[in-house]
Amino acid sequence: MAHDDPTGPADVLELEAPALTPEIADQAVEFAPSASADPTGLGGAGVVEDAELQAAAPPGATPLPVLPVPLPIRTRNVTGRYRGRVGGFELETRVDLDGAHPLNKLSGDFFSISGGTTTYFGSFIVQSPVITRTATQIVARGLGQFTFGAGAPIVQVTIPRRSILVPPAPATVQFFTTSNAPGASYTCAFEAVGLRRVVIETDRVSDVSTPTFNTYNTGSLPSGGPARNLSVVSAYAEAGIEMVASPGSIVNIAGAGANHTWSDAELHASMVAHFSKYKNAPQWAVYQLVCQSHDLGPGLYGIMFDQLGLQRQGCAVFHQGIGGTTADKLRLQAYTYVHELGHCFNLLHSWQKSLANPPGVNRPAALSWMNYPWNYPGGAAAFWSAFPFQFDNPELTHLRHGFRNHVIMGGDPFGTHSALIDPQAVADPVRDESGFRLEINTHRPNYVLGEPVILELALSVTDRRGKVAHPHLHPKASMTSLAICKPNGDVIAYEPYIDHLMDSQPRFLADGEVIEESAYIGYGAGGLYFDRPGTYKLRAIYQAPDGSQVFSNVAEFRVRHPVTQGEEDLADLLIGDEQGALFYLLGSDSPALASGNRAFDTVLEKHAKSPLADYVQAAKGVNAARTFVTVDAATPEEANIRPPELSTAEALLTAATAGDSRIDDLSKAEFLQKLATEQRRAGDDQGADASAMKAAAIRPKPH
Amino acid sequence: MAKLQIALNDGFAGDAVAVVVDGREVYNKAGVKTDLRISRADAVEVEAPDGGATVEIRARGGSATIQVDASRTPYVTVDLDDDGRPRIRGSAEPTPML
Repeated sequence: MAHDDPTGPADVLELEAPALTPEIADQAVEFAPSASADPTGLGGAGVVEDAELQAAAPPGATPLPVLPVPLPIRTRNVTGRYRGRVGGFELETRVDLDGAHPLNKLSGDFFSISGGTTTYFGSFIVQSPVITRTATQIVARGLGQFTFGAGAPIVQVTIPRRSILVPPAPATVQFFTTSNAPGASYTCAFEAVGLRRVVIETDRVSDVSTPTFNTYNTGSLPSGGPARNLSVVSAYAEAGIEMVASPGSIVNIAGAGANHTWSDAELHASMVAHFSKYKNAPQWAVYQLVCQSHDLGPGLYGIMFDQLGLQRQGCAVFHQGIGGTTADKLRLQAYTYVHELGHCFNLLHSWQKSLANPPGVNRPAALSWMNYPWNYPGGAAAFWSAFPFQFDNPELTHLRHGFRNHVIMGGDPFGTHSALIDPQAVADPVRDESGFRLEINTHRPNYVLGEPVILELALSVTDRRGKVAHPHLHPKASMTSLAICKPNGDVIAYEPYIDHLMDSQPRFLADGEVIEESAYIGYGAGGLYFDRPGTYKLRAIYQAPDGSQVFSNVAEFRVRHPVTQGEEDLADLLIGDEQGALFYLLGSDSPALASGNRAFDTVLEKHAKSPLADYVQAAKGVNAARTFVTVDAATPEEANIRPPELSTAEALLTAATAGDSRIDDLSKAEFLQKLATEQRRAGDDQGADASAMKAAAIRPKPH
Repeated sequence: MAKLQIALNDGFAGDAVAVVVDGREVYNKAGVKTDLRISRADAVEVEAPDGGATVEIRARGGSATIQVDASRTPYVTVDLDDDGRPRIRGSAEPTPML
């Protein structure tokens, strides 16, 4: 199996499926009572005289024993969560084929296991499998959609039917290529009926004057579904999500005075302080705080307040608006508690699905936890009369089968997943009379995994009279946007790590002139953009001063998988948020990026001869050439000033910009110009002239 | 005098919005954007004369007007529809947010 494809051809090591013994097979077949059965029959319950058997006995023979009527034995549902491992990959499979509200879908998450560490690898969903049910097994098979480039994208899940008297059968998950060649096969043991498992911790603030919500009997008032006692846990269980309650506590705010109201910032700080499961990583754990009132007043019933850092880990409800023990208040509490948790699962309101990324379809008439009753056609009374206290099917698909990072708390930001954009947004315009041409190229057609990707942009005019243009092409200046098509087909927008609000400074661009700029695009506000092997496509859109949107060509490049152990080690050292930030910033002394700098030091220490070391030398060289000012919160009146280390900078940048460097010429010239500027500032005119000449030799400045 | 609460709710996407009550501009901001968590962009509270007031909303090149009696329907809700047109309505109760 390939390192980067858990669906690929199977390795030798496979777990054996437990044998379906004749005894189990017999018990798995549902018995039907004999046509001549009489449940009230002679000789007691379940005993039936078989007249035919009696008649067949030879005269004088001992009568045959009367056989008991077999009781019908139910077979187990197969819906649930299963888990298995092959080699370095673990697979969690979610089978949704029967039970109370099946969606007839399959999905799964892959995890890469290396030594003692497990990291999320990717997800898949099979939206419409072909399902074959027999007395002995259920088979579901279909083409999956993956978050990575899967070599074997057809998924087949086979689960033997078992009676309820024996343990659940494992699921065999077999992957196939599109030409039906078998790929990896996983035997996944049954784990639980819940398709996902989430720990929920509910704390209560000391000034809340009404009881925390426990259960609501949905038959208390007119509604659209069967009457039952619903809690938060059971509401999500009906949605296929196993919520496990973790003990909560009281948040004592006696010192805050009477009538305290909460701000979002205070709610977030309280979560960080009180949520026993809180950590700065995606996890299936959520915090719900029961409060009295928010700064926005009694009209705010609840809020998913966590939009800092890794989002959606907590929500709050406010009893000033929803508290009480009457049926309508309990109904409102059930609705608010479940609704806010729905936001933590990254669900938008029913009428705002089109504002998600990618856009969904608005469903303003949805009878769903995520709708507002007062927005429903016919008003709140009509909503409550018809509401079955459920999510709608697209929401259930998201909760049960959404790609892990789109759903998990601390995963994608609220309302987005990977900032997917509509591919039509980067389709060719119907007509282009802008008078501009924008050309882009990556500086290499192939990159090693972990190697910084640099984009070269060039703007020229097609109008012989020339045009007025903004001269800043780097996406950070916000006049150029960039769409990235990932290997799995997702199209996302590149977001700069730091936006620069630039004075546009338009200038006249004559016919034959070119404005050029290079931009490191491997890292931005969306994290790492090219951290998986595969083929990527890029397209840039330049906003001209006259409002024209100038589309570039499509640039395509490939990120290849590491081949040697050295390349593997380098990928591990170069891939990371801190390393991405350091490349973006061209180095930094910031203590917040210390581990990234240590990784860079290791690259220079152990892999100095690798071509990829050029990039690290460049980032560290540019940083060494600058004055770096650090302000420590402990001593705000005194800044720590590190002067330029020019000899270090010169050595690093000489190596980084040597003739065989992997860095593009535009960037090399830019780095040497920066060095020249600092040398001249330090009074080293000779050094500055030498650096400027090197820069000019690499990339002459246009006159 | 009664208090009039004007809530800017759904559909705002970084818009410049002005609110005029009886000919007096009481609100004018750029970059008004709906918080998708609670479907609320912003709100303003103004004093309005008893008996009636004219509330006008201007956004995205369009406008909408409503006559309200602040003593009976003191809550005014404004949304931008899918075409960016302001829709405005008054009510006796505030629209909850969650």
